[in-house]
Amino acid sequence: MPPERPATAVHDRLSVGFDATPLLGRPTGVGVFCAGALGGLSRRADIDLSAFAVSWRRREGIAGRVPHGVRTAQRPMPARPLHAAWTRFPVPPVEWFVGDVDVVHGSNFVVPPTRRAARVVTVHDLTVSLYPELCDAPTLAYPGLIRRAVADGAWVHTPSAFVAEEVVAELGVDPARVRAVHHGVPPLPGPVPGERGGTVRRIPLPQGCRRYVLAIGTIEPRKDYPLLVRSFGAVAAAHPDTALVVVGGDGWGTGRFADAVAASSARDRIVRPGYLDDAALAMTLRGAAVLAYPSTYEGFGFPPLQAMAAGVPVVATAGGAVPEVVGDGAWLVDPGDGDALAGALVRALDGGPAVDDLVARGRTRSAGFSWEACAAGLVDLYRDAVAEAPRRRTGPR
Amino acid sequence: MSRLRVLLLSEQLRRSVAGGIGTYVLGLLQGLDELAAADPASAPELVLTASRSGATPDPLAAFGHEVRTSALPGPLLTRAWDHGLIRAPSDVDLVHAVSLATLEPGRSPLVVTVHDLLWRRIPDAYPARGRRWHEGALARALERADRFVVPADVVADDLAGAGADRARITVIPMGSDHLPPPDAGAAAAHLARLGVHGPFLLCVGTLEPRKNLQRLVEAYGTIRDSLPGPWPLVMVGPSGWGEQVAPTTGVVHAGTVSAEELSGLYASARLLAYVPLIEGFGLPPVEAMSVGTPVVASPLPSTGDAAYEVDPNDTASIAEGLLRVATDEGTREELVHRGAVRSTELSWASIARRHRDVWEQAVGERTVPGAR
Repeated sequence: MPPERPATAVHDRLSVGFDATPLLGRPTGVGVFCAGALGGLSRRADIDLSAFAVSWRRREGIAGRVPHGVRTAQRPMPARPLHAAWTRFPVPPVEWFVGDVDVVHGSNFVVPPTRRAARVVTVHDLTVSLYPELCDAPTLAYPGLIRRAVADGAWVHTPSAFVAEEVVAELGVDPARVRAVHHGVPPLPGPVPGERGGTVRRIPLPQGCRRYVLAIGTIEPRKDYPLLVRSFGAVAAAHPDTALVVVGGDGWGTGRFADAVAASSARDRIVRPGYLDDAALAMTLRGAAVLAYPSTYEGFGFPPLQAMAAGVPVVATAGGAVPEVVGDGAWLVDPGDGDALAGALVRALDGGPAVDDLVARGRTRSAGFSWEACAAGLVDLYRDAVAEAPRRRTGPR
Repeated sequence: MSRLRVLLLSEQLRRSVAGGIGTYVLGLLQGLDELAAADPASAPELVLTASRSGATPDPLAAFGHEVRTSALPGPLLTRAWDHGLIRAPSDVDLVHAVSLATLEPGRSPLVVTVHDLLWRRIPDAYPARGRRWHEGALARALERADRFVVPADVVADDLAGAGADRARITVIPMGSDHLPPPDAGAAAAHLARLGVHGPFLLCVGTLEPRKNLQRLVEAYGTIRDSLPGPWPLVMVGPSGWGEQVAPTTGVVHAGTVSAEELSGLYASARLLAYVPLIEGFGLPPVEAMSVGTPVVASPLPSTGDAAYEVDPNDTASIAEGLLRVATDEGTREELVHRGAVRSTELSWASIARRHRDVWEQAVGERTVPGAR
C-alpha cells in the first residue's frame, strides 16, 4: 500500500511555456499583462517558467525583458514560417523550441500547437466582433483561431467575467472552458527623486488653470472622448480653475474628437500633451484632480485602477468590464449620459467627505488586484487544463 | 577590437533581377544589417564596390553603406579585375568576393564564396567560353584567396579536389528569410489570368537542362488524372524557356513574377516540385519551406531532411513523390513540420554572423605572430 499523502499535499511543480512576444516592440496593454503575469508566476515556487517569443529578428531581446529566473527558448522561433506552418497543421509543436512543458499559455489571442502540453489562450476583448470593419487581417482571424483552439482542447483565459461572457455568447465556447482571472495593477514608476528640479516636466496648463481632469487612452471610438469634451463645458463653467488634459495618441475616428473640441466653449482649456514616457505619465496621473474614463467598451481597464491606487478619484462610464473592475472604488455613470458625467466630475472637483470616501474606497478596491492573485488564478486554470489534457488529446491529430 | 572594414564586390547588385548569387548578396546585406541593429559595435563596416552606374547618386547607396563606384562598365571591370589591373583599396581590412570574379587583394586578405563547380561536373551544360572563364577564375581565386566560403559539403569536396586546402574552406548555407511577405492578392490575380483558380502544384526554375524540367513535366503528366481534381502544374521562370518543354495538358507557364508574387505563389501552392539533376545548394526549396509549403525535391544540400526526396533521373520516382505530397495529409503534415524547422535554422542574420567569423579568422591569420 502506498504511503498516505500528507493532508497538506504540496502540488507537483508545473512547467509553463509563456508567449512573451508582446514584450517586444512598442509597449501595449497586452505587454503590460505579460510583464505582470510573468512577474507573478516567476515568484511562485511551484511554477517552472519558460518564456518564448515568436519573432526572428528580435529574439535576442526577449531575454532582457523577462523577470529574473525565467528561462527563455533556445531555438529561434521566426514568426513567418511558424505562423505559415501552424495555419496548415499543428506542427511544429511549441515543445520543439522550449522543451517539454506541462502547459503553454498563448498570451495574445493565439496559442501555438503542442505535442502533449495543455493549452491556454488569453482573449483580452472582442473588439473584433464589435468593429470588424476596422480590424486588420490577422485580427479578423482571431475568432476562427480561438474557436479552433478550443475545439482542439485549449482553455480560454479572459481578464474579466465580462469578456468571459462575451466569449461564450459570441464564439459559442463551452463556459466550463472559459475562466476569468483579473489582471493586477501595473505599478506606476515611483516619484522621480528630487522631482521639483528633476527631469520630468509638468504639463503646462492654460492660463488661470491650477488643476486638471485627466483622460488616458488612445483616441478611438470605444473611448467616448467627444462625450467627455461636451461634458467638460459644464465642468469648466463650474470650476474656472480646471483644465482637461487628454493623454493618448491618435487611433482612429479622431475627427469626431476634433469636432467636439472645436465646438467646445472651453476649448482653450483642453490640452493634449502628446506622447509621455512612463515617468511623465505617472507624474501626470498622480497630479490629476480626477481621472475621467469615458469608455464604452473595455476588456479590463488599467488606467482607473492605477488612478485608484494613486489616490486619484475616478469617474467612469459603465462600459464593458469597467464596473466589474472598479467596483465601488469609482463613480460610474451610464455610457452616453453627458449630464451625469459632468455632474460626477463637478462633484469630484468640489471635494469634501464624499470624495475622500471615494478615494479611500478606490485604494481599498485597487489593493485587491495584485499580480500575485493573477498568477494564483492562472495557476489554478493551468492545473485544470493539465488535469483534463490527456483525455482531450486522444483524437486523430 | 575596432570594427572590421570589409570591401564587398557587389557587381550582382547591378542586375535588375536578382539571380541566385544576387539573392545571396542581398541576404548577406540583410543579415549584416540585423547584426548591426542588434550590436553595432561588433558588426563589420561595409564598403560596396561595383561597375559604373548609369544613375547619380549610385543606386547602391540605398543600402546605407559606403559605395566605391568604378569608372569602368561591368564587363571591362571584371576583365580588369581578372588581369590584376585593379587592386583593392588599402583602407579596408579584408576583401570578400561573392563569386569567382575576384580582384588582386593587395595587402588585404581575400575571402571568396564559391557557389559550385558544376561546369566541371556537367560540362555539356555550359558554353565553352563560360567553361574557360570559370576555369581561369577558379585558378586566380585559388591563387589569390586566403579562405573560401561554400554553401554545401559537396562544393567543399569539389573545391578541395581542385586544389584548395580543405582546412581553409568553411561551409555556410544560404538563408531562407529574404522573401517579402506573401502578396496573396497579387498571386491570385496572376493565377486567375492564367485560368488557375483552385489548388495547384508549383515549380520554379530557369532554362537550363540540369533543372530537369522536361522529366518533371512528364512525371506530372502520368499522375495528373490521379489527383483529386484537375490541379495544374504552374511553372515560374523567365519567359521563353517554356517552349523547350513539351506542351503538356495542365502545365501552365507563369513567366517571371515579382518577389511579392513569388512569395504568394509559394504560400498558396499545394507543393513545390524542384528536381534538378545537380545543384550547389538549391534555394527554392527553403523559400517554399519558409512559407509553410511542402517540398518534393531531388537530393539537395539545401533541403536537410525536410523535403520528400525523389530520384531526379527516374520519372516514376518523381511522379510518386508528386502524388503522395499532393494528396497524403500525414506526409504533408510531416513535411510542413520539417520544413518549418529547417527554415528556422537558416536565417540570414546567423549566416552573416558566420561570415563575420570567417572574416575575423582571415584577418587574424595575417596578423604577424607576436605583434598582438
